[in-house]
Order: sequence, then structure tokens, then C-alpha cells
Amino acid sequence: MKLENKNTKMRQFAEDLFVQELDALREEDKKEVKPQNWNLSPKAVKKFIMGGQASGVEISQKYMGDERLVEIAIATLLTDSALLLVGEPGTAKSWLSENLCAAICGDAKKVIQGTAGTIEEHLKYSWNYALLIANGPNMDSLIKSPIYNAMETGTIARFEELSRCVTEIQDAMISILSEKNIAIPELNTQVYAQKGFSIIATANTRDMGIHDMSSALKRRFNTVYLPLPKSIDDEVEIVTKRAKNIAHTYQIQADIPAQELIKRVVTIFRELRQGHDIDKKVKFNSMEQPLSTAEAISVITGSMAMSACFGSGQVNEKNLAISLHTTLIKNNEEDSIVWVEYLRQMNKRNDDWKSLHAQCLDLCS
Amino acid sequence: MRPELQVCGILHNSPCSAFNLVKALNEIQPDIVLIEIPSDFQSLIPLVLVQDVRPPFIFQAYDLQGRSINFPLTIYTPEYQAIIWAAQHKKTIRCIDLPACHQIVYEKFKPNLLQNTKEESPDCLMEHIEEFDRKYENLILNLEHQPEIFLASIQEIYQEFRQEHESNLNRNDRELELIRLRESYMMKQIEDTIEEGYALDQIFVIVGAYHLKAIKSNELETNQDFLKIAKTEVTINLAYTSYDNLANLYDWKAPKYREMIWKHLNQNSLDRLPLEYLSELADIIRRNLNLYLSSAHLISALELANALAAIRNHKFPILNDLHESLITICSDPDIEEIISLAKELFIGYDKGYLPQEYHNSLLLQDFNYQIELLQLNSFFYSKAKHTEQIELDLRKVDNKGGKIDLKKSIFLHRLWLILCKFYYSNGNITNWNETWNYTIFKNINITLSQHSIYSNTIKDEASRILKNYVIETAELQELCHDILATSIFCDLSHIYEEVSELIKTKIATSYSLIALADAIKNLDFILNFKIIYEFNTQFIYDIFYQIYIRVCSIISRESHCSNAKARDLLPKIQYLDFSFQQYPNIDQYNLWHKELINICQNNTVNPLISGFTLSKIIEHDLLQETIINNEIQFRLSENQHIEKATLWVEGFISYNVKVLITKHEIWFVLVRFIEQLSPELFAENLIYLRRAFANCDRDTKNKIAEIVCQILNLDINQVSDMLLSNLSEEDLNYMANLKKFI
Ligand SMILES: Nc1ncnc2c1ncn2[C@@H]1O[C@H](COP(=O)(O)OP(=O)(O)O)[C@@H](O)[C@H]1O
Ligand SMILES: [Mg+2]
Repeated sequence: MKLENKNTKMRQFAEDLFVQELDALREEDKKEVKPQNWNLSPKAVKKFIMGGQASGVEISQKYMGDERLVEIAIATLLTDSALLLVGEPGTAKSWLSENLCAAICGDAKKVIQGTAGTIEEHLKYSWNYALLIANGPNMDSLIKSPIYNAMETGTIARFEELSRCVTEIQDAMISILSEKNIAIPELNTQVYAQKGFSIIATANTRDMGIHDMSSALKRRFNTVYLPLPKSIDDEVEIVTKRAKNIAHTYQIQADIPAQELIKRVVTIFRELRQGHDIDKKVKFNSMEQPLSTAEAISVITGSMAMSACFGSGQVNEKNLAISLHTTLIKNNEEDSIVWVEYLRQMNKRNDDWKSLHAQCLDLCS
Repeated sequence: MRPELQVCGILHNSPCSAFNLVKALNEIQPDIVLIEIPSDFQSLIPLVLVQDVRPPFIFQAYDLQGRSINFPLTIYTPEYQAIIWAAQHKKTIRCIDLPACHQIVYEKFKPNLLQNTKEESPDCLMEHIEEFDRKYENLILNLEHQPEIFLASIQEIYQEFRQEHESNLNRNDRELELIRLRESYMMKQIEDTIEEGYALDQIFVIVGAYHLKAIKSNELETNQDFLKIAKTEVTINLAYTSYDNLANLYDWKAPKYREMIWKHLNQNSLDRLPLEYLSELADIIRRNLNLYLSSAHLISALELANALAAIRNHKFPILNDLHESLITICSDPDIEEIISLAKELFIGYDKGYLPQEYHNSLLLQDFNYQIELLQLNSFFYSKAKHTEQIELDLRKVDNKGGKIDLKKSIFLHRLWLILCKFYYSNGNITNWNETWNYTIFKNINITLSQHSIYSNTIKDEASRILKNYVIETAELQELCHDILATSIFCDLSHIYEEVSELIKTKIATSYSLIALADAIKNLDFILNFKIIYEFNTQFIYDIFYQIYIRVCSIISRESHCSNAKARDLLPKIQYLDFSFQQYPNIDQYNLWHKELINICQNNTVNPLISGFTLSKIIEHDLLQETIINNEIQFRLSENQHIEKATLWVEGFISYNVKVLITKHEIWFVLVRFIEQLSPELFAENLIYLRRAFANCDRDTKNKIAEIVCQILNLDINQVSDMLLSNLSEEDLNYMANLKKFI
């Protein structure tokens, strides 16, 4: 397969991916009043995220979901608060945060990835020790963190998976967000945040209990909850688009499954997630396994990879069944009870479903 | 053209309309005000002006078929303000709309509002509010407050709305017909007023903006004979109401919030509304939830609301902007909780006030109508009430084929429910006789007038109450029994669906075989009533099926349990097995049978249960004889722990003595097993065996005796004597003691 895209980076940031759209929006937006250090007006930012037309260019819809949430997110960045996007895994938290940054400051690269090992230096600054030893502490030997950079330039830094960080790091964030400056005692100076500085953090609801965020920290953020896709068609669309994209990036030599099959997988996910079938006739227990859109995407890409390696490159129901089985049941006995019970109950569904169900049930016994 | 005629288009129940209307009235000072209210409501206007009478209340017209026309009035209803203005300025006010007695003919039977209330997820609530914004609030708050501009804009918006509305209606639609009729009628009233001698510029007409163009157009047909239009006899009444009632019954979005807008408009302080609303809401949240909200929070919320309004092209934050920003600045908000608290603020519970003598509600009216219809007058209104008693035979059919007593029973059950009692039972529920005593309904009139604020009919009120029970009820058994039975006895079939939804959810998460078996038992009980109540039983079978699937999924897990629990489970499993056989279609996938086989061959599940399941397998003939015999031999073989084997035997025979008659081979294995027991264990076993046999009939006992004698060469008389004698007290005590050790 020959990649037409000349760009061989495995992943592009939003500002590069959508450079034409951003140019078009800037063109259209020329006369609008913009908040200080913003590249676009709030309404243009919204258009970039939600899609539309600008100076004759089609603006693609980045976030598929409730427009109101996006409005709240943008409005938050207009005020002095930082923004915290919270949701199940795979609800486009990172995706939305990246695109907001791309639209507002043309740069989504100032990212801190929160982990249990994140330390305060990652938030503030660290030293280039070679230079430090050679020249002593001065500005040249200082390595600025993404937040430092954002403060200096009045732009937005991103903080991924904030809730995975230990409490000390979260405390350090409180001081950054409330003081809006970073002190450098070694140089006896400090950097002040320019207007336009803000932070977009993401947090996973499934991590929430681990290092519970203090209320002091939460208060520094406006929290926007990103829900799972509302309608089945929305979810099918997201899954199809993303699966295509991923298959392309990883050069999986298989066709995207028929829309009907994707819809079936998404239906299964939604039914299990909601605890009842689409007609609300039958109810089931809920699973412990997260059942996000991202999981549904991975079922599809998994089945594609399987058919590319061991099959014809055309995804069949067997591929899907195996992929579903491995994604849904990760050695969890409770979940497998739920899964079997689900399949048994839904056995009465119309004939189109029969074969997929049978394949899935086969794998369970 | 009538250039001087003043016609003012309003939005009903819009504080901004009311505000601008009063302004206009003060400027113009007309001699007569004509309002779009059915003209037979004219008689209610003096009542409104009686001292102490306070809105909200409803102008109501109803007929004996349960149809009604309702015209709610609040402090900020333009029509109400017009009435007040006219009274204060001693001017004439006249209702000019087509009389309710005609309009009511066009009303379909009152739609059952309770039936189509939507699921109230917080999300859905947000949508409600949003719709309210778009159509209404945005209009009020984001337009200039000068009357001319405001009036012009609503006229414009309504013109579009009307075009769209009419294009959706069929040309012959009765709704369209009614609109035309009403407009012609109003025009006729205006013409009559002019003829009376009022100067054109002294007449002020107030109509909904929807009708504005038609009234002004002068194209209406006014010389038809309005007396010929179909009509019916109606009762006109001023009825009591409250803001939450308006929200529930008439789908008003935010009655209390509108009142706040009204207040601020009059004080010229609309810009203070957002902060005032936010701080009141924060206050409620602080009081009710353990959520800290400082004034710093409020300021950020206000800031966010303003930013949101700007992005959304609102000049002024609207209710939705306010709610969303407050929720956003709360960390960890329980959105559902906050919205339900906010309801207190934007819907409100304020009640109107009417003197006692006006109290006459639709609910009481319905009650009287029903008792008349069902010939229960003497039961409720006889002189010697305390002795009154009524006997019903639910099967009784009158000469027209109607089950009059059944109807009475349904009605009485509904009243009973309104008195907050569950289904009325007089002992043996399956005989078709019911006895009702008047004493239980002693205060029914008082109760009904208290309830009249919620519903307009006995049926609606009963279903409202039952729905509340549904929400509060947690136990599967209760749902299947009390609630379902009540909904059947009260003939509230639309509740079945809701209840069965809930039941299914509970089943899906239930790990209790006991609860599931009891649920089936209760459903069986309810099925008894299908002959008389003739309800659709499909939903019960659906629930059955779900229980069946659930039982099959959990039974093998649940069978790993203590002996005490197993003893509790056995009768339930017995019952489940019995039910599943009763409805043969249910086990078309043989899941149940497969599970039985699994359990009986599993050496780790509780032996009582595996013994029991084997007997079931023999009963249903699910395995080949050799496999069964192997299984029995394995269970009673020497390498099995003796206690386990004993328990297994107990499980095996305790519910299924018949197996022992048909399968002689079993006795040999049993005997061999018993022979190797120690004396204590033997004694113990014997008692269990006897207990197992104690429950079977004489015939079976005799047969067993026969078999035992054949096999063991015993004296038949001795054995059958032993079997036929009952367990002595001593034996029972001995067993009770034994249980402690098992
Ligand atoms: N509502 C949505 N709109 C657009 N894309 C979505 C949506 N939900 C999920 N996705 C896709 O799913 C992928 C996973 O999202 P990501 O932002 O990594 O999730 P998170 O950070 O919430 O765990 C993204 O690439 C995104 O394209
Ligand atoms: Mg992420």
C-alpha cells in the first residue's frame, strides 16, 4: 500500500492536520474582536470544533456531540478559570482539548502527560545539568515546562490524565492556578502568566478514586463532563471514522467492515452499557469492563487486523466475534456471566443477528 | 382598514407581554378592554377581584364527559393584568373568545397527561428548559423593553410560527376550523362593541400574537349564525392551582422564574436577575447538599454565564445559561440533584388563594359523576352511613353484558389507593366476592379536595399515586405483588409497562434465587386474575422469560453455598422447576435442563443441591439410566466424605420421593450406603429419610413399603406402620439438634 500522505509522522497535531481550516477561519474572523492572545474569536473556535463553512472552506466537525458542552468549554477559557474535561475513557477528552488549543492558540503541543511518576519539575522547570555545572544557574540552563511556556506566551497548556498524579503534584497545580506565576528561587525571579494563559486538563472517571482530586484543586477548574455518544448513529459514525483512520495509520490491509456490522457491534456496546436492549424489552446486568466508544473502535480495528493477517481482508462475523470476546471479557468472571446472559436473552432477535450471536456463544462455552 | 382600533398581540403568560401591556393601557387609557378569553368565563371576572383572591388559579369549564377547557392565570398573565387594570381604572372589560361551551366540543377527550410524561433524566430536563428558552425566554429577555419593538417582534415571530403551524394542519382539520371560528367570533364581538357606540380609539383588543394578523386583516367572516354551532352544557368554575401543578398538568416550563422576571421588569432591575437567581439557587444547594459554594463561586458562575450568553448570541444570560454555568463551576456536581433542587426555584410551589366557597374541583366533579354512573350514590351518600356495606360479585353480568360489579370494584380500589392503601383484600382473594365498608371512605370528600390540586380525575390521581409507589419500591417481590396487583385491580394498565421495566432492571441485577422464585410465585398469583380482569398477559410472560434466563445464569454459582442456605434454596428451586415445566415454551433452549445436569454432576456445589438436582433429572428423564446410576454410585461411594453423602441423600429424596418408587435400583445403592454408616450417622439418616417420606401421601408410602420389603426381605406391615406413623416430637427435637452440627 502506498501512502499518499507525504507526512510520515505517526501522529499529527490538530493544528497541522487542519491547517487549511484554521487559515480559512482566521480569514473570515478578521474583523471580529478577539480576546487577548487568542487567534480566533470564541464563535470561530466553536465553528472549528462543531463544523460549518468559513471563507468557502468546509470546516469538518471535530467533536460529535452536544454543542452546549463545547460552548461551556470555550466560555470557561474566556473567564479566568481552567478547564477540566472529565469522562469515561474514549469520550474524546484529549481530542477536544487538542483541538481547542489548536483553534485558540494554534499550538496543541504544550502537553504534560500525567502519570503516577509525574513530578513537580515536569510542571514548572528543570535544569540542563551540563550547562548548569558549566555556567551556574541562569536562564540558558533552565528547561521550561509546557506550563511555563504557556504562561510566558499567554497560551494554553494541556494536562492529560490529571487524576493519575499524586497529591503533591495536584497541590503544585493549585498554586500555579491560583498564583498564576512560577517562582524560580535559584535565579531569584519569577515568571508571570500573560493574559490568555490557561490550562485544559483531562481526567478519567475510572481513575477518579485513585488519587482523589482535592476540592481545592477542583475549585480551580470548571468541570465539563463529556458523555458517551447519545445516538447510535452518532456512535457508528465516530467508530467508522476513527477505525478507518487508525487502519490507515497502521497500514492494516483490510477493508472497513460493512456499516451493518459496525452498527451491530455498536448496538451490542450500547445495550450492554445501558443495561437494556434498544427496544427496552430486556434488561441485563452491567459490566465492569469499560464499554466506551474507544473499545468499540478497537473491536473493529482488531477484527480488521485479524482478517488482514489470517483471512481474506474482508472482515467476517467470526473475526468480529473473536474481537468482541477478547475486548469484552478480560478474565473477568462476572463480565462473562453478563455477556453470556446477554447473548442468551438476545437470541430472540431477528435472523440477521443469528450468526454473530452463535459465533459469540460458541466462544463462551 | 380600521386605523384607530388598538389591537395588541401578546404571548400568553409572558411577564414581558404583561409589562408592556400595562404600559400601553396606561398610555392609551381605553374605555373598554376586550380580551381573548371564552366569553362564558365573563362571570368569573368579579370573583377574581374579590379581596384576598390571589393567582395562580384556573378558569375552567368542564362537561360530564370529562372534557375540559382550562385557562390558567398567574400574576404575570397579561389577561390577568388587564383585568386588574380595568378594575382599578373603572373601565369595562369583556371576554370575547368563542364560549367554552362551543370550544369544548372540539376538545378530544382530555389526553391522559400522566400517561405520556417522559422519562425525566437530567439531560431531558435540560432539553425542556432549552426549548422554553428558544421559543420564549430569549424573546422576553433579549429584546428591548419598549412596547413598540417588543410587540413588533413577537408579531413577526408568531407570523412565521402560524404559517408553519397551519401548513402542518390538514385543510379540514378541526383544529383549523376552530381557529377560524374563534377568530370570526372575536371579530364579531369587536364589531358589536363598535356598534354599541364605543369610539374606535377607545377600544383596546388583547389577543394572542398568533391571532394578531387575522384580527387586523378584516377578512373574517362575521355574519354567520354563531348560535348554530354545536355546543354542550358546561360548568364554569374558578379552580385552585399552584405553580408546580401548572408545570405538571399544563407543561409550563418555569412559572416561578417568570414571576421573578415580572418582578424585575417592574422594578426596572432586570440586570440583577442573573445574580439574584444564581445566589438563590446556590443558597438552596448549600442548604440541601453538602456542597460548598462561596461568593467567589457565584462570581465565576456569573462570569461564565455572561461568556456563554455571548457565544450563544444572547444579550442577556437566560435560565439555561445560568443553570449550566452553576453546574459547571461546582466540582463533582450531582446534576440530577441540583436540577431537582432548582425546580423549587424556577417552577416553584406557590399556590393561589381562593375562598373556601369557590372550591369545586374537577376531581370532586369526576367523583360525583362516577358514583352516579356506577350507582354508588346510596353507598356514599346514604343517611345511615356507618351501617352501609356493599357486596360485590366481580363475575356478575348485567342484562347489557357489562360487569357492573367489576367496574364498581375498580372504582373503589382506585379510591382506596387515593387513600394511600394498597389493594383491598378481604381474606380469600381468589373468590370473586368483595365486601366494602363505608367506614373506610368516611373522609373521602376531604381527601379528594386535597388531592384536586394534582389531578382532574379519579383515574389520573390513582395512577399518579401508584407511580409514586413504584418509585419508592425497591424489592422485586413487592413490585411483582403489591404494585402489579394494585395496577390490575385499579385497571391502570399503562402502569404495567413502567412497573415491568423496573422489574426487569431488578431481575437483571438480582443474585437471589429466593427473590426470583418469589417473584415468579407472585406473578403466578397475578395470572389468576386474568379471567376476570382480562388484561394482556404478555408482559408477565416476558418477565417470566427474563427470570428464567437470569436463574439459569446464576444458579450454578449460587449453588456453591452453605447447607443452611441450601435448605432455604431447595423449595425455591423446586418451585422454579415446577414453573418452568408449566410454561414449556420457556425452556426451548434447554438452558434449565443443561444447568440441572451441570449442577448434579458438579462435585463442588452444595451436596444437598446436587442430590436434589439429580432427582429432578430423573423426574424429567434428562440423562441415560447408566449415567444416573453411575452418578448415584459415585455420590455414595466410600471415597466420598460420609457427611457429604448424607447431605446428598437428603437432597436427593427430600422433595421427590416418587423417584424411589420408579427406580428400584436406587434402593440397592442406598441400602449399601446405609449399611456402612456408623450408628449415629445411621440414626441421623433414618430421620432424614423419614422426614423426607413424611410429606408423601398414603399410597406412595405403601408402595415404598412394598419395594423396601422386597429388597430387604422385611415384614411389610412393620415397615408400612413405621412409614405411616408421624414423626414424634422427640424425633423432631433430635433433628433440630442435629442441624446445628451440619
Ligand atoms: N464524541 C466524539 N466525537 C468525535 N470523536 C470521538 C468522540 N468520541 C470518541 N471519539 C474518538 O475516539 C478517540 C478516543 O478519544 P480520546 O480523546 O483519546 O479519549 P479520552 O481522552 O477521552 O480517553 C478519539 O480519537 C476520537 O476521535
Ligand atoms: Mg485521553
